[in-house]
Amino acid sequence: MFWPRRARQKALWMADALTASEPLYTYYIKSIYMSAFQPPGGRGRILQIRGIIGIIIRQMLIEALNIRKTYPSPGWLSFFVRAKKETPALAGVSLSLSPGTITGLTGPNGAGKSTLLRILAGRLLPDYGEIRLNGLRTDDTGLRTATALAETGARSFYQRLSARENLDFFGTIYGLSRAEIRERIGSFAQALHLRDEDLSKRFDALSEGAAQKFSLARALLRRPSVLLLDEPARNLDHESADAFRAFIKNLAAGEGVAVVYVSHNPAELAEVCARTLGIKEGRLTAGSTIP
Amino acid sequence: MTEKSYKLSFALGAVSTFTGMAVFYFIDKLFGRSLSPYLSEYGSGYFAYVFTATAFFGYIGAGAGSYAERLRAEQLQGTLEASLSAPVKPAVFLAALTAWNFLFATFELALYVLAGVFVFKLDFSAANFPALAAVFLLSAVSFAALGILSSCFILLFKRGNPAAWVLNNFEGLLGGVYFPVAVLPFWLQWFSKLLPITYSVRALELALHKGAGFAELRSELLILLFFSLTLAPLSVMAFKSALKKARKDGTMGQY
Repeated sequence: MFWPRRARQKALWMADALTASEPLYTYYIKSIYMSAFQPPGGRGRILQIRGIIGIIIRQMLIEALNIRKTYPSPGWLSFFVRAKKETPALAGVSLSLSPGTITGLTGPNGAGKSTLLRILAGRLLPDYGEIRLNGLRTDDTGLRTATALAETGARSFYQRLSARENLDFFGTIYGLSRAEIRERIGSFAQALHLRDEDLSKRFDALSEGAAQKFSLARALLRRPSVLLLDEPARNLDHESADAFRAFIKNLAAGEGVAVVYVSHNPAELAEVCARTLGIKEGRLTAGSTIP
Repeated sequence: MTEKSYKLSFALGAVSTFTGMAVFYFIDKLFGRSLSPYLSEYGSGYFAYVFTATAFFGYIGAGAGSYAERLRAEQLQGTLEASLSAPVKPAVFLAALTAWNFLFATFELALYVLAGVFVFKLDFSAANFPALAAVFLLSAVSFAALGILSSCFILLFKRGNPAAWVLNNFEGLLGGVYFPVAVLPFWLQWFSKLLPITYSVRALELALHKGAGFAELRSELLILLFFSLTLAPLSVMAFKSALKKARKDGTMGQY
């Protein structure tokens, strides 16, 4: 079939646009369709190959598109549970995280920072919007596999077990063997200033700072592609906080982990993050810096 | 690991097994003969009847009660959300949640059997073990499903579990655990027919004391099979839906 010159140019432009954002299988179907109208010289086949290579070497990416979340009032369940009015949390947040970057997130209390992190971690379902992982729409199960969230507070640990037993338990349910758990603890124990005596202590006997370190350790056990840190240095002493920040920077640069770092401290965000986003009343504010 | 850390509770649980049975032993000595007409079809005295039914109910009840109990414990500790953030299927999570309870219940059951044979001199020589195994299996599945349904209420409402209230208060009364269902007034027996425990206890007693086989227990086994096949997938679906609702409402970490 003969193609006029302008039509060929349009086809090449469409193919480039497609390979930038389409998942592999849909691109392939479209490229087969396009190759049916192959311009003279076999350019259609070249487009297919170029597209496939582009997708393979394309780096992992998480994108949140127009995320909205309102915590509901129980409605008909109010007969059984304490009734409360609806609480809007996110009003259309879109952001993307590239591998190897540390993105700061700051905002007033109740702005929606924790809600956003929990949605990205797959622990909370948004009301509207979608999240893409590597360009593919993903559900909460996929997010829970790819991400790890470290929150403040020790309440999510078994208080009567030691810190080591807690890490062994959570590492096991994350699919790690005992040897892997030991090896990974060893890799970040120094960075987090984890003391052997703290590892052996019952969790309810640990200080808040030590408990915070184990919360970070649990998130790091999984070696996630995306690490979500909700005020990670809040209860840490200066030395531990400095060591932790350096570790996070090395983790992002060396292993290509995408990090979201929530903090109220501008100096800390400036030191650690390549960019910082502000959030207020559920929206990214106009004052946020996005390179 | 957590249960092991409560060492005194662990020991007391084992001791209470014997003291509970001793009560029924002496009740049998006092009143057992008056129940003879109702027990004749089972081929056993009152103590043998209640001993086996209670042992069985305790074991199977670990399935019904432990799901809600363990889920509530995880909620109060704050570990539920963290545990469910692992890439584990809900069915696997549920099985792991109650593994310890079933293990301890098996240990208790073994103690019951040893106590029954060596302390209270009960005779289990007529037992039909293949039929018994079928009764245990189908009952375990039915009760596990009821327990999972019960845990859905805990997931959504935190406290106030109507399913557990019904199961705890009516199964012992209407299920034939402490006395044969035939003792109940006719109109109450209709409610007994709605409970899987009624068929489980009846089949168990017949298989254990009279050696009844698959042919004699056909109707009980079929009804238990119906309960299992209906309740099991329904309960897993209900749990998945409750989990999704809790994630949507953001109440997973609440208690």
